[in-house]
Amino acid sequence: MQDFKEIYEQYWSRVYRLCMGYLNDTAHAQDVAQETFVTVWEKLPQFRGESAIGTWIFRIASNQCLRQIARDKRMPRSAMPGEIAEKSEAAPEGKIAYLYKAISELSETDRIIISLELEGLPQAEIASIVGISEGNVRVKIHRIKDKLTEKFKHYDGH
Amino acid sequence: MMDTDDELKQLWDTGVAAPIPDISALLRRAGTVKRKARNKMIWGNLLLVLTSIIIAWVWIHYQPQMLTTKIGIVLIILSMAIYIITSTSMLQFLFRDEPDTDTASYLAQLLRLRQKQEYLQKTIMTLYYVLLSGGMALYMIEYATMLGRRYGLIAYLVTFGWIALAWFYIRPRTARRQLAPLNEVIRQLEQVQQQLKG
Repeated sequence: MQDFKEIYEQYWSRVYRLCMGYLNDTAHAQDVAQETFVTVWEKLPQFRGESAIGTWIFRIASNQCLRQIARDKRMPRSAMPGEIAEKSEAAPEGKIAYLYKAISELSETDRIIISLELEGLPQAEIASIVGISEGNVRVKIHRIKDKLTEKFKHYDGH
Repeated sequence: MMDTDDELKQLWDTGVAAPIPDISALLRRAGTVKRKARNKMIWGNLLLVLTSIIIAWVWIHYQPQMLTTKIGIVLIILSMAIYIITSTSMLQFLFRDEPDTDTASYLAQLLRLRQKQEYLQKTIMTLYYVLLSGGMALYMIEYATMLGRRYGLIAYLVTFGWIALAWFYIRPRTARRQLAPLNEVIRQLEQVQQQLKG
């Protein structure tokens, strides 16, 4: 079994980018990425290697993103200690900000699928993370990319 | 202008991640959440014990003679116990999810949990009111007869006026306040589930 610290360092950026794709909000993305790793840390002893560790981590991350829907809206967003809450990043700018915004306008599951695709995961792995067939993933990715390309036609550099 | 898939991918890769938070801070966070849940549970238990002690004291101190009073006391304790159990984290084990299954199963799981929660909230609230008012009615018989017909009647009127207010006004309002966000979550989850089918 891999060491948690190793996993954390290896996957932090990738998980954060996925969350950013889903949420389009740096502080919230950081928050959900942290929740993901808290879960990874808790569940790691039970991880039996039935899938690749990456697939497993991205499953947890995707589910944490979707879990934001079910979250009690009356509660403050995070119960995290202040010292890590405050270190959030400046919002991205330019073309990448436009990409995040374009993705954030997609449906919830499309946001996850395209973020995983852009993160470079094979479509078979995306299918196993999301729980739909590979063919379905392929079709969805194709449609999403069309939508994004269409949106970028209106990008004027701001 | 975005021409190819590769460009999207290259652009995505320029997204800079936030600096990695210190691992000890992360693990402290895991601890904090657990501790909070545990504290809530401890408080719930304490309240429960305290309520039972007070009622037991009433029982011993006033030595009720009639069976109705005793049944009444038991029902009131039960209603309070149910209230405390559900309002603290004691039922958390019912709502545990498995965050490492695939998204489609996870959504189904979340949906099931929320529906269960909705059902439980409705049922428990009704049960709470029925047990509490039933318990009160029984409990009061002995003392109301001691008060004589007139004052006994007044005591019953006041008590049941209050219970009626709670049942017809406070209960539906609380239910609406608790269930509205839950129903909204259920609606959204169903919508997301549909996206995967499409």
